[in-house]
Amino acid sequence: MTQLLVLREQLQKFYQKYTLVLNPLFRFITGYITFYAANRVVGYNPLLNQTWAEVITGCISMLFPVQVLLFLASVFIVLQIAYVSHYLAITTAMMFMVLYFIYIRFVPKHGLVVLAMPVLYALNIPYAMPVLMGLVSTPVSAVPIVTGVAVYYFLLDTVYVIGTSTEDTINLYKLVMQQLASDTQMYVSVFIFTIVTFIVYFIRERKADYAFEIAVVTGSFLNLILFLIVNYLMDININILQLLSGITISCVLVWVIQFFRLPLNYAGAENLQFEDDEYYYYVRAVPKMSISAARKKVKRFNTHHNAEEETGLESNIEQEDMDLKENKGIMPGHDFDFTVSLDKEDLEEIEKEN
Amino acid sequence: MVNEEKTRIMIKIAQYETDLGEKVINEGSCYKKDYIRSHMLSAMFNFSTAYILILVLAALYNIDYIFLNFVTINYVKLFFEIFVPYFLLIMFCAIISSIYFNDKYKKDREKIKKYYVELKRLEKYYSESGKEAMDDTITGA
Repeated sequence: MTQLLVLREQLQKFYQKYTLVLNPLFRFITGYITFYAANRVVGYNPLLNQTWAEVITGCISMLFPVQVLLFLASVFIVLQIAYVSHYLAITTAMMFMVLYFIYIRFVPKHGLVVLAMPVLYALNIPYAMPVLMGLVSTPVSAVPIVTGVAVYYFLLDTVYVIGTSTEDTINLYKLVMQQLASDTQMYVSVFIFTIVTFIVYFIRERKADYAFEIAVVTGSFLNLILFLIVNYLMDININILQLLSGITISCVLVWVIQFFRLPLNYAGAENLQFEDDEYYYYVRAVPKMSISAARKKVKRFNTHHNAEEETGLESNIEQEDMDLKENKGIMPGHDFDFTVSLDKEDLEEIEKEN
Repeated sequence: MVNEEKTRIMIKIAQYETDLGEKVINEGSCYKKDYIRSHMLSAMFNFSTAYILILVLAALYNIDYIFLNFVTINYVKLFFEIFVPYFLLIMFCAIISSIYFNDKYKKDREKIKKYYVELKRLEKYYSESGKEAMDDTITGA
């Protein structure tokens, strides 16, 4: 645990130090994964279904804020579908526009959750999102999760209909909508993810020790149990091995996020009681876990009065040290850092002696 | 020489600007009525556009039926079937958005007040030191 905390501390420092580089890098990775996932689901256009296309679109999304990624991903998906069916591409674009005008326009942050759901489905870890949102957000976050699930199944049904039809007509759109309306897996996913989000939120709100960790494990376990029960009762053809691996990875992923977000030291919890004029308070304070990473420090001992002279002298001596190292070939292993500062009086005395 | 007090004030101002965002700060100078009306209009426009798109999608879904019964369709009934829900939707949208943006305006004002306090402190600082800020956009506002 200590090592993990040290690692967390080091990573935070590393991030703070290189924020300017890391932020665009994260945007690139997010963009790349998004377009990679889009290609795995609807990779029709041979021009766009290439690694270099994913890299280029990732680079483009690196230049813009994360919110623009949603627009770029929508355009990318429409272009992919347009390669096989113009009618379906137009109707898909219209549906994305409806989604934007009545929902994402007002709650832009939810747009990222909507986008993340199909991406996580493509990576086989959609189970992470309801647990994570229950942990960090409110039950309202079930709405973007449900919308994201609907978008993913809409794309999946589009792929199914394109695969089974031979000609490009407007009837394809009707078939896609009929297929979507009868998609049991979508309804099951919507139902389970909503319940998981609510339960995880409910547990993490409890004033119990390890409430966050319990919420993560319970949410993941609930995902597994509910999908297994529904699969048994309704026979919705879920791959058990994929389900198990997906839920395990999701659980670990969310636990890691929670650890980096808010590690709490329940052993050091304090129960306080105090009062003011109006109330009597029962307060439970749980300290955050934190540890300082070991750091090598060289201390300099100076006796000086004039800061400017000191700086001048130090730089001179350091320059001389550098020269000595270069001339005499002092090995890096014997690199002693030692500084001598002299007062004005000392300097005058030395000059007199010379 | 770097002045610590001035730097602290400017850091706070920059933090508020980052947290609130340019849009919220700019809208902070609007009157309450203007703010609510502009957002209501924006919401109504968005919902109207979405409604039209949904109608088009519904028409495309029933395209076969429309072509087959183009002459026999009761257009007066259809007009009411389309516009009554639209009217109700827009009314609902207007009421909800007026309540929501009224509340949002109050919350944003509270946040912006703190930002203005810091701005006044900075202004006071400049006037006390006898130097007016040459560039009033220096904080990025």
